[in-house]
Amino acid sequence: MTTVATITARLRSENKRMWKKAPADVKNLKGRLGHEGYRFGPLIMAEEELRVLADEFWVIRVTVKEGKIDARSGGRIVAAMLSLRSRRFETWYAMHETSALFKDSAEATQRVSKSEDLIRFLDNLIMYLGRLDLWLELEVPWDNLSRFFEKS
Amino acid sequence: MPRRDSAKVGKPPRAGSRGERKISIQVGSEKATAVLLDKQAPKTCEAVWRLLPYETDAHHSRVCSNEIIFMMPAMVDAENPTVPKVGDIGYWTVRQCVNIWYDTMTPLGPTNLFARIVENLEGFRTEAKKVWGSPGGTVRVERVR
Repeated sequence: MTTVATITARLRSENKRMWKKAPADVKNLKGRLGHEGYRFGPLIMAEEELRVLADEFWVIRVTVKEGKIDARSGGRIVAAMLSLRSRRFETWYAMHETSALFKDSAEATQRVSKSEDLIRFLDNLIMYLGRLDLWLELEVPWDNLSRFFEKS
Repeated sequence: MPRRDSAKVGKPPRAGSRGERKISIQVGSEKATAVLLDKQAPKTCEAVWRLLPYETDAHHSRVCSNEIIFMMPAMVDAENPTVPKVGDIGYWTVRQCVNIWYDTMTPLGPTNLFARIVENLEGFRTEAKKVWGSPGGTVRVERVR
């Protein structure tokens, strides 16, 4: 049974591992083909989803920290969000490691009872999402896309 | 990329007085020196200082305009959030990112301002602009004193 303490430690370890080196999921995502075999759709959707997720988990973190919701409620909301994303990151984006991490995190946060445990978990999860998002952001040709958009 | 957090806008202190800690930030071939705003954002300054020297990939803003961004592994809460000006350096709490506003921009809201560039903003600007077309280059931050 995965606990919040073990999944937090795992996230901390993953963050350390991927801080300087892009994780395998970046390559996995780049191999995921979308409509007509284009890879851009899955890439841009995953990038934006990670960005928004980090923001949303930040809001939950602040809300729990300020005592506006308790750890059990916060944990269940987090678990539901992660459970949905676990499926999506596997089937839509082929990001197997991230999907597995979300799945185990959802299981653990379902049972969290202490605010400090949930906040510590969210600190590491938010950092994980943010760092992964920046790796994906580097794969998007923003300059070329912006120029193309202006011409189109 | 600071957000419009539920934060009041503070008045930044003057930079450059004696005893202030300084950092250098290098992008490409140019290095700028910045003074830490310890009085305004002591927790943010300390969190950043402890991680130095630090090196990571540089990113460019898509909305705010002339701003480069990089992530730091530090979780700091809102601290006297202030609307930035050109040459300011902030820490965006929501995404654990350092933001450097190197030229005219449209600030998206107040953030933890923890440093201000006091030397070589011009040179830094030249290299920072290149990050938009070539993101992912190295940004290196070091203690000066």
